[in-house]
Amino acid sequence: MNEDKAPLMKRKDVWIILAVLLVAVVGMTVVWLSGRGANVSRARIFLGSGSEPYQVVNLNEDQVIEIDQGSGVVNHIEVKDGAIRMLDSTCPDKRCVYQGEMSAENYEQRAMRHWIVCLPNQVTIELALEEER
Amino acid sequence: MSKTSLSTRKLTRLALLAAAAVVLGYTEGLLVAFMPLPPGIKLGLANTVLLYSIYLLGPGYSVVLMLLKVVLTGFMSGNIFAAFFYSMGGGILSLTMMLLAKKLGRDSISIVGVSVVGALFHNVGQILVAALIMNTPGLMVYVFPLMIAAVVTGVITGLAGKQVIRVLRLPGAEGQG
Repeated sequence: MNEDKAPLMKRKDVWIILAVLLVAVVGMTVVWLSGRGANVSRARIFLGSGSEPYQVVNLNEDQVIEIDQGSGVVNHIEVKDGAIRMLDSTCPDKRCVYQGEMSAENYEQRAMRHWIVCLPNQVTIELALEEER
Repeated sequence: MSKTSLSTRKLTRLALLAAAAVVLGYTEGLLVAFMPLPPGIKLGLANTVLLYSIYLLGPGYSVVLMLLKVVLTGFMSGNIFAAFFYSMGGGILSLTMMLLAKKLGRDSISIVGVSVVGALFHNVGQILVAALIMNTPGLMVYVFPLMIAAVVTGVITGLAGKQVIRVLRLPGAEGQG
């Protein structure tokens, strides 16, 4: 066995890596270009698989929204100074809380862009991006 | 060597790898709770176990291992329903594409490339399921940052897997006593 002397990767490994990176960069650029500088004044909160928002929130009204889905599944969403964030959640991983706040100012730079998602509790917040006319 | 002893050894390895996958997945889940990472981004240590099984046990056993891992991890998490479908979606897509990459790339794609393919489609599978379950196709904008994460984690776990397989192959490798 001469695997010690084998190169770290083979040629097609590098092709795969470059292809994935290319698609990712092109995709991110397209996403970034579409919906830049949108008018943001509202956010929609979705629960479970509902396609109709559970609640539409005005970002100009500071408030804390409690979403209690029963059996100990509770999320708190905070609206403050035009930004919205998951204040706390009963989910195990708290990744929704780590996603931080999103607003008209920062959504273009966020990895999840205009979304905050709590997968375990199935709570989704979407900034309503409206065309500026 | 008799056929029985071979399958006994494979079965033992399958059980060991299944246990390792569950424990690694659980440990990584605990670590994630302390790391402010965006959703869907993790090293994917549990899936490296699948990577080993593709090389050490072959496709059939790998499918069984993937199903075992998904079901066992589902039981261990508090939220069986959602967790089950996310990991099932990621598991099926990721394993299929890894087997395909290994077969098509026989001599030109190494374990590192197969690992990147696995990480990529695990992420794609999970976000597809998330977009389906929550009925929010707009979530797919997140697939592109996840692709970059998959390259990073896929290369790391692939290089690690290369070393692990080199070690695991020595004693009792196929065709040896």
